[in-house]
Amino acid sequence: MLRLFTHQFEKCLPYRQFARSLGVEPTSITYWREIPAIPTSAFKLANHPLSSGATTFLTSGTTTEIKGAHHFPSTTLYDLAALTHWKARFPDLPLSFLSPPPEENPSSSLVHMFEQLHQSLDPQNTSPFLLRNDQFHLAPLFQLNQPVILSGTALAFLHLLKSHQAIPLPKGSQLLETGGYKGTTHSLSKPNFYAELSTFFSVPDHDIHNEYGMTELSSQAYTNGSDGTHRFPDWCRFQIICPETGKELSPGAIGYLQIHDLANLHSVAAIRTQDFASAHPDGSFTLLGRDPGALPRGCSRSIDDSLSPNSQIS
Amino acid sequence: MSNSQISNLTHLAQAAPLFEPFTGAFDEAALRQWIKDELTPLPNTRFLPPENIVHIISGNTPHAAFQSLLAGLLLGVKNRLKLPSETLLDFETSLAQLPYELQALIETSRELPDHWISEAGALIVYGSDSTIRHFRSLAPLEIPFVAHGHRLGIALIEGPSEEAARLAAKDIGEFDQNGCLSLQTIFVENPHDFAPLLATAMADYEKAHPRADLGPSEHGAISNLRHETLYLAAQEPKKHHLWHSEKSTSWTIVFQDTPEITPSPGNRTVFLKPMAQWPGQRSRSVPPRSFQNFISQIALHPFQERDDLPSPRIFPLGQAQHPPFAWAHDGILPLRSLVRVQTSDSPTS
Repeated sequence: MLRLFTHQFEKCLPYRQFARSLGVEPTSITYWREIPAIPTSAFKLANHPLSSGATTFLTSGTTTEIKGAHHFPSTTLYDLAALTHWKARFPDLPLSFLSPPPEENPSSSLVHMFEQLHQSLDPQNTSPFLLRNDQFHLAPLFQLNQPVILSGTALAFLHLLKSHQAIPLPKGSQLLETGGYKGTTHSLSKPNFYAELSTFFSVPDHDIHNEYGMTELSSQAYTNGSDGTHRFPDWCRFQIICPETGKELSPGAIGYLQIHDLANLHSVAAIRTQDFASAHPDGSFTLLGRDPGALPRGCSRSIDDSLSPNSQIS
Repeated sequence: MSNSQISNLTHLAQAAPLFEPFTGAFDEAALRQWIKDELTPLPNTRFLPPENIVHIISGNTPHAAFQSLLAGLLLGVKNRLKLPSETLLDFETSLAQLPYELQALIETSRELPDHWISEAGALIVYGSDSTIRHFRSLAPLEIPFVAHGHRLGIALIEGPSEEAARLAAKDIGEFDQNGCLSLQTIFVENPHDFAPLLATAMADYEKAHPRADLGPSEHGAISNLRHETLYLAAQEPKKHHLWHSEKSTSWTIVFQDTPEITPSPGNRTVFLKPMAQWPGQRSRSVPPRSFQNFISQIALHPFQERDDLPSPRIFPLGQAQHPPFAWAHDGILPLRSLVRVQTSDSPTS
């Protein structure tokens, strides 16, 4: 972590200026917990980019909101991180995605990750993306003869639950939802959401997972079941930060999640989020959700926009 | 004026101590004057009050509820108040102190009963733009609809002085910016000279009037803004700067040499901008309509009559939370906006 901080301090002018304004230099710290974290809004400053490159992922948001941009000269490390952690967490099963394909949403980091998983783990599947042109195309789900991992945003799942009859999946199937739905018109507790998913797809609660990720990061954290805690891969560290004092809190206390992601090689590894969480002694954390005082965000929203009442669902 | 209104004047005057912290001082003569000012009919006309008024109340301070209710009671009609589910929790207890005759005209609920909107004779809504749009779509088309949305209070300060800083700190500190009358943005000549004075004044105000306890989200909204400002200041130090209380979120001053005006996270957090960024200053004309729409009031220091400020209220710095009794909140006359005019045509000969 410290070597990466030194590298990013030297290569990234906006980060160097921020660290120096806080009185932090690579030679002045001895522990990763002292590495300064940038706000996620730093990715929105087009005049002060943190990185550059051929691939750019954008945060979601309405057309009037300024979107954050995470530039990658290469996604090799990003793809390796996503694939390595996925293979460590999930069984080797066919993949389907309640998501538009990459050509419809090329700036989404989530869609990019889904495509990489598809290409690497299930390349023979010719129609893994079940949401195209704002419409569900669910025929592949009715033709399954073996378990599947169905992944998508929470909002896409919610729209499916409201618009379709139950779709029982083969025994052994798993679900992955991500993105949340706060800041939208949907109000449903996580246990109730998982209970509805479980009934709709005939998948037990412990085989439903949440992915916590964001455009500003290159790694993801996963849970098992509605009461599961999140866990990052071994190359990530996190801290819980007191919203009042900015100091790190002990396990059990609630504060902002601050993440150090080694896979964020090309930009800045230390990111302070506006998500509330509490740490556990075993290295996992419980995500309590987006700060209600912050703007709604997340990749789910673009899906919700496309599936709003004015759009068609087949 | 109807007999019921005349009767209410006496009861309302008796109940003045309950209202006055939120409406300003009044007596029976002031109430009569208010009615005279707003409801003096033209020849061959009379005013028809609504059968009842539904008040949709929001926010963390009871000002809106008491001001809205006072107008409704003065009209002598039934008042149904939909109160916030999690704030103003002692409002009903306060109402129990009213004379029985007034209590009989008041109904409150934390949930909105289904029939209230369909039976409404007039609807007053306080809240966000989305809340207002929601109720506007539900309200019967023929009834008076009065909306008070979220707006920002600003101040125009000619130059740095300890007196200006003290008055600004008062306008920022009172009620911890939990209302649309709170000062959120200051335009000032020489902001870098004014900021240290304001910082001292806000620290002094905090000592004399400690801020209410905050939850994690409220602390977080302030610390997020501070964190972002520190980052911006590191990139563009001439455009961004931060002054703040140490080891707490008690008070925060964010300097921005940018044209945008954004809502403060509240709880004694104020934006400071150079006077050159004031739209009226930039264009040397009246600020654009889009800018006017979200300004609730403008404090001036020193105060002077000006005809280039279209804000609904202009006042001397230091009086943000103390508008005159029976003032036209958002430029809307409280009584006149709720009544309709009946015209009696003379028979033609």
